[in-house]
Amino acid sequence: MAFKHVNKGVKRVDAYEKVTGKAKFGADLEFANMLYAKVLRTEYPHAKILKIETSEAEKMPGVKGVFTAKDIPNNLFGVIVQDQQVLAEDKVVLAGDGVAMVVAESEAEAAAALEKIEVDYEELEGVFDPLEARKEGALKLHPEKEDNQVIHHPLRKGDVEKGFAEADVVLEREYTTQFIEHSYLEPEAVVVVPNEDNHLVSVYGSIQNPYATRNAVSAVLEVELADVRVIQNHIGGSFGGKDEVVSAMAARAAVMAIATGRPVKMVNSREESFTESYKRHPYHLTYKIGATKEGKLTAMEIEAVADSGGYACQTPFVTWRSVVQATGPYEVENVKTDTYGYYTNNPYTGAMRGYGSPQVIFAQESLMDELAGELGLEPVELRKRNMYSQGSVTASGQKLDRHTVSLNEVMDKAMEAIDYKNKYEEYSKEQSGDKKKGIGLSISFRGCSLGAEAIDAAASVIQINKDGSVAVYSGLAENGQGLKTIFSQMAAEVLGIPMSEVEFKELDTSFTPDSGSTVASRATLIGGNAVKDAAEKLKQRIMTFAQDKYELDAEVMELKDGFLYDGQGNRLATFADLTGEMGNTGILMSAYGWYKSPPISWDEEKGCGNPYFTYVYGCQIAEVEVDTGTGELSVINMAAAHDVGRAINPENVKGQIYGGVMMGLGYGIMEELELRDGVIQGTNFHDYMIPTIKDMPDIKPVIVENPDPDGPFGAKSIGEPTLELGSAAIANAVAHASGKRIRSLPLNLERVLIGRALHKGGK
Amino acid sequence: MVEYQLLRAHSLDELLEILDQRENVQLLAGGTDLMVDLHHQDQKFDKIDYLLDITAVDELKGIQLGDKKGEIGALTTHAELVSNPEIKEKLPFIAAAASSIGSTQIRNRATIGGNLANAAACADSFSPLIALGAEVVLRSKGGARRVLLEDFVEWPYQTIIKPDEVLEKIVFAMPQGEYYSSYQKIGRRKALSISRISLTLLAEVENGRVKKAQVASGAATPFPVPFRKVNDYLNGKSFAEIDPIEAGNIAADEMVGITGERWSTPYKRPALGKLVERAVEDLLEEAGYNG
Repeated sequence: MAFKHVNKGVKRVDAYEKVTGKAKFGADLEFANMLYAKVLRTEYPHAKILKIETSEAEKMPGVKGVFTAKDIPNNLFGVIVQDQQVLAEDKVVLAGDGVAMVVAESEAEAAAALEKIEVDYEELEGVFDPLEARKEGALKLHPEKEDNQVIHHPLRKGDVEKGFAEADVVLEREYTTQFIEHSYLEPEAVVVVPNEDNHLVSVYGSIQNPYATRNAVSAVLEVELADVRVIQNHIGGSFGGKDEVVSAMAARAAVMAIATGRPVKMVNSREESFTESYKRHPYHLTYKIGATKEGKLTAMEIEAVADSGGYACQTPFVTWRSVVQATGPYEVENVKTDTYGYYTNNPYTGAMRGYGSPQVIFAQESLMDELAGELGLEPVELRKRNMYSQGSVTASGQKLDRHTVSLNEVMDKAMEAIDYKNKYEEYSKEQSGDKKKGIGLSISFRGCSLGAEAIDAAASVIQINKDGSVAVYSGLAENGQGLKTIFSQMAAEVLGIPMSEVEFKELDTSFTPDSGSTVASRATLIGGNAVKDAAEKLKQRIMTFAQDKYELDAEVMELKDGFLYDGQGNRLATFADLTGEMGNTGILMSAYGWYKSPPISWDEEKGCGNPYFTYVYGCQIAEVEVDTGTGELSVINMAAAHDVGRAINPENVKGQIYGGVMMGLGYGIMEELELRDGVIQGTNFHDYMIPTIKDMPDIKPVIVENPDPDGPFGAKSIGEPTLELGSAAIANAVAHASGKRIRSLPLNLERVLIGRALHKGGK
Repeated sequence: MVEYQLLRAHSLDELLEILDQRENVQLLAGGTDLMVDLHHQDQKFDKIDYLLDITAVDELKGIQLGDKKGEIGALTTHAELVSNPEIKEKLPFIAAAASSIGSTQIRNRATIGGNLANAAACADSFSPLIALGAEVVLRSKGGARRVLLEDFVEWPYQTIIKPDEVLEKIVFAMPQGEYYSSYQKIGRRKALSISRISLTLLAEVENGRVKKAQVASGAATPFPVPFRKVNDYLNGKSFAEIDPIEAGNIAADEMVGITGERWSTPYKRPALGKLVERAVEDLLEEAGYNG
């Protein structure tokens, strides 16, 4: 089928305002009579609060209020577990917990007053390693809980003992991954306006998930959802990062806005953002794998232990995605997987692009190469003998037959794009000199959208105005990923109008229906279906009207390029005249769209069921040069092939691939949040390394399209799959080049040269 | 809050007059280190009363390379060092070091004098200049003194500049006859990277023999020093007598002799040895020696 707008690389609808600087971000917002607020954060990772003395701060110039936990109506919030403190009350559990806040006439006055707040602490012993936190008798960090365990997800299939007995080769390996920062360009910012348009509070700002923030603010204020309005502004990156940390900020600002009756603005500096925001979970992974000498996998036993930091945050769901994907895309008869999350006094960990998959993929795809080496098979061959194909059954017992299982296709296309076979052969030979080249790959399957985490549904609203212009609203949010453009393309496609007639409107929770969070690479798939639904409802209304008016069968007429055609190439009316006439005759020219995902299932006790209704498949290949004399590592080329179902906007898909590969490269070779007893060492980008443009390899994006029966126009997901594969591919390429297997991320200078990391003042 | 008055000098005389008349003056050149530390409210500024902007003092700018002598004004930016054709031709290791610093934006602002006066252990400007045997000219209202660059730093971030002095320029004797050089650097990424180790080798050769070798490193030791034992090893040797690997080992031992076993030694020992080995190999190769 030929498309007019969909499947085309149209220009982003928000490009102009962004490149011209007209776009307003959270920190740009100004309201009359606005106040500014700052938070005092603790330096202790674990301490009792004995006393907070605020009287001096209250007397400081410009100060309109000083607040502590006792001023917060309900101090606990959380998307999954309500254990996160808006402000620490009796105890701080991580270095960075807020203990008090000041609102003043200026930011400088608020900052000056913070210095006058005296807090007496009694320092407590801390737990900084989840492997310690899980031990019997370990210090309990949340006294109301039985132990430090946040969550445990088991998965059982077959009999692993039997499977290992059948194996000719059994390997046991341990892998570890690190804390990393989201590194969004724009630090967190909110403005809360009280008593605006019949809402108790209106929250503006850099908000990834307006409904989650609304839930948090209403829970903290103990008011109805209808009292809280959240309006999303342009957002300078999020990557999963502007959820709980921004909700806490919004709740704090809301308390102060109500107390003062004036708008309150809060903007984090980069250092404040590093200190307070949640991170990617570090994992400790233990894998045991068995295979016959022919290279057929017989069993996998996996344990993954995640560091949740001070709060539960998203740990229960992050580790759930890990349990589903831990074996990788391979047929294994016998599987025993356990994923865990534990509280520690480290920074708390939450959602970050990939969400529990990059860690297990690093381990399991490294392991596949190690196993191939043991078996004397090429990495590609071992994968092809075991990977999913049409009708395969996953570790959780799901039969993959509802969509195209395209692993073989993505793998072959990625290999072709980077000339894998020749390079593999060449670099497998003896190389002279210190600089050695290598090539490595990794593959994955990834469940699209939320799966069994939560109800998976989304809404849209489309209004056709009397002049034929069209406004599109979605309950999902633009976080830089291109949602506004994608949804506009879909609406234009169904309604047969030019893109210029479509206006995408900002998300406002008091107007658009709750569609859950913009996470899990679900916007195009779930939100897209909702936009399509609304557009199709309106189209049907238009065609019914036209059928009566022109006495032509609706089936033969066509809406195209802003005109109604009679099916013979003759224009009957303009879209604007036709829809204007409909409006004037009293026909409702707005429609709600709604989409609820197909049924899924999950048995939490046994870890079985159909956790996601569809999956995407990807393959990334890295070509590296390792300087075996200095430990320097250059990623020269990368190929990334991803099945997206259908690319609604191929240029945008490429953008996702470039960005995701680069983020995965940073995760793989240089990023690491260094902690000393729970305290972050270096809270800005001169200490925390992210890749620069000069570290960027030549990236070859390959878009594979196998339209999904449940996707809008066949589209699925692309945001997160692009990031989850890189670190494993690079680690495999490094092992290919140097002969050295590195089982911990990142692959920094020290690990590459001497096989272990070194820490300042450390072991 | 760090509180200070901002002053601006428009000539060297005015600058020296201000330094003579006032106390607790902090000089501002490119500002690429200073502004970051000010932003962090670094405690070292607690005693600062004045911030003196010297960027308009033209006497501190410029590069002059003669046959025998060369000098580089303290306010010369790294970008100027990279693009200066004479530096590129005669002292390519200085251009290589300058081009490895920071990013385009930083190289456009940051000055060589600032890099030296800030005296970070990882500063990239020291090793090429120490290899040259350069001196710094420290001027006050009362006159000027010349100090060998290797004696300029007392400890990381601490130099022998007196409160009434300004680092005016760097002066050095031009290498003579047939000479070769190599600059090496290891960083954690390809731009905006603080050196893990940097290294310069400069050698004058005559008749297939090393006449005068100078090897100096940045970031390997708390403050930059010449590696005398490596120099001694190389000096006077014919190319055939030189073993690059041995030179590397000598350098690594010399470094550990200075620093002791530190947390970073397990990495820096083999890495520094490798850089010295490569620099010596570069020398032999450029000198046309092929085993």
